[in-house]
Amino acid sequence: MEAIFFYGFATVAVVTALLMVLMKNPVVSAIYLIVTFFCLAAFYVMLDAQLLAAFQVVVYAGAIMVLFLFVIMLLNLNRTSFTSYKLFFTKVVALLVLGAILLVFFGAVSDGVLDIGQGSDQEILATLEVTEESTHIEKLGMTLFTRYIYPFEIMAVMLLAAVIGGVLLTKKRA
Amino acid sequence: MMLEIGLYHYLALSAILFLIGTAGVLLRRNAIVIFMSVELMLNSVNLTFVAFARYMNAVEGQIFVFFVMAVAAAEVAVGLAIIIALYRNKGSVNIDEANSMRG
Repeated sequence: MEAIFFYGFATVAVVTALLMVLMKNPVVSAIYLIVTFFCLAAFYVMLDAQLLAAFQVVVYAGAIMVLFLFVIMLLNLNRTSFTSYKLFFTKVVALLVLGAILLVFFGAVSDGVLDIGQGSDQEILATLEVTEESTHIEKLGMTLFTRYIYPFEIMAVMLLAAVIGGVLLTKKRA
Repeated sequence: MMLEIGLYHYLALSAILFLIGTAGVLLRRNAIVIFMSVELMLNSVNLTFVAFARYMNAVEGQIFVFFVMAVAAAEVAVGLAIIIALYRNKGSVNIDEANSMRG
């Protein structure tokens, strides 16, 4: 029974991937890639990764491909104009934002020195356990926010840097 | 063996998708389609990670897929901004015309 689903989705994924590479019209290629992403989300469900399947649909098919389609259709961009800003004010705000980010980062990886609540991180961690009956989102959350908290915080800063970089790269010279 | 889906089926499918993505990167001349082929390659690697996470009972594979998705989202944002800047300078996204640095 599982073989029917696997071979069906595998055929659709491979065929649409081939069509994506071969089509001349980039809009059609983008649509075929969206279909491929949905097939991959079905594979994630078959592999007991339901939360990742939801992420696949929301992030890849819902955000990344929408961004692709925006750029494909808006390639003749009209010029955008940003109002002038005061440079010194910008630097102060940037320093404050960096300080806030560092505060959150050190608060996440500290061993309870900055906490004002009850109990240190070690005591709170003792109550969390990844058992057999945990749902997928519980397993993912417990591992992500304890053992992999460093990459998680760095990922947030990286996303911010990417957004700022994207805006700066397309900014018209004043 | 064909009817019972094991790890090798998912690895083979992931390898096929990766090959299709690589062919797209090497053979197409439109910068946006090349970028979409790179996204296909990233997704095939995600499928490999999740397949291993399932068949080796380790959740770390899925954790890594989480980070790969975030990196891919950021990469798409910056990469499309670069393509837009390229379009503004050259008038087209054909990579054959982006040869200013050719000696």
